[in-house]
Amino acid sequence: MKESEQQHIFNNWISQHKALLFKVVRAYAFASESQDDLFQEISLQVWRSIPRFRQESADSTWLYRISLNTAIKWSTKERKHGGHQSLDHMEHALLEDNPMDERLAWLYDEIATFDEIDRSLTLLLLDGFSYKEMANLLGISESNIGVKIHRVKKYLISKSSKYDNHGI
Amino acid sequence: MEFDEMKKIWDKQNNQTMYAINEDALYRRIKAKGNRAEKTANTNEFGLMAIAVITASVLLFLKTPNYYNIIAAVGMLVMGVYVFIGRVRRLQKDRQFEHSMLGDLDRAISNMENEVFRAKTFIWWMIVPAAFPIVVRIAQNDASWEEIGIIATASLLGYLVTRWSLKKCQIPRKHELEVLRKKLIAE
Repeated sequence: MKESEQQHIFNNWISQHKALLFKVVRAYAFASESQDDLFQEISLQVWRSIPRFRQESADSTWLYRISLNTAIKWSTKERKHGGHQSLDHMEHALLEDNPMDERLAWLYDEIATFDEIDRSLTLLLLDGFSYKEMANLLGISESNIGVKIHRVKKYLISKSSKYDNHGI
Repeated sequence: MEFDEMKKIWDKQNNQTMYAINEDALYRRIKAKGNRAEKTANTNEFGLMAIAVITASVLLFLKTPNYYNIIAAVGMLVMGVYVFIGRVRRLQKDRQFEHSMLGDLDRAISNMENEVFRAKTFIWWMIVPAAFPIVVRIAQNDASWEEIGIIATASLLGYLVTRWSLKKCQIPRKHELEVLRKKLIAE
């Protein structure tokens, strides 16, 4: 594949699916420096994945797979190294644009309490993926997806009742 | 709050982006790193194969052909073939994993297992063939103390660095990936 072709696909994906990438970044990285680092890492992996993309799945499914996979591995490394490595010497690729809705911020905070795998499942669930799509994307059975989702939903609904009552 | 309401809150962010992308900075980073991992793996493998072929050629064509030099050259060529077979297997295996997160994790674990195996057997496929010519020269009373010292230090250093990287990087990384895999398939 020619680099110009790769660049063209990359530009299209980034402009069409940036909301998807931002959701993954926000769910896995919390400090702005870390979010910038993770976004750059995901972008790099997306770039590298382009020659392997065979159009057997939708662009968004492919991008979710690449970005979640990258975020999961990134967060295990991050935890091991105890926080982000300094990016002071680097240019920032991601700049905070809009302040987040309070209820959305609450939702992200709750998602952040899950382990890496449940976090990815919650993102897919909230973005309307079917059990079958999630099973294909994660490579596990639909029944396993069902068990995990039941647990995630139950947890979020119980937490939201506390949120509603106390207006946190 | 019901789950459907959470979904509505979630969907609102599709119309209001959280961040702005500094595209110039992003492209510079991507250009700088590009396909570095694959290039590094290719460079290492082709580098080792080139070392094997060049050393074998020197031993066979530039040195006085004798029994020991021929054995050493064959040893180096076997090492080159070993690296080549390892490369073919790595590329074949890479294509076998399914396109899912579990498949990606399995590929990463398999690559890490490959690295661990290569590091554990480094002494046999790299140090022994590389040190063989000097051992032969020692046997023939043809090696100076400096040469013996250099080859012994280089071999020891190579061995220690490989063991250190195995203990500090490859094995913990493989363990982390296996933990993630367990979490993914656990109900």
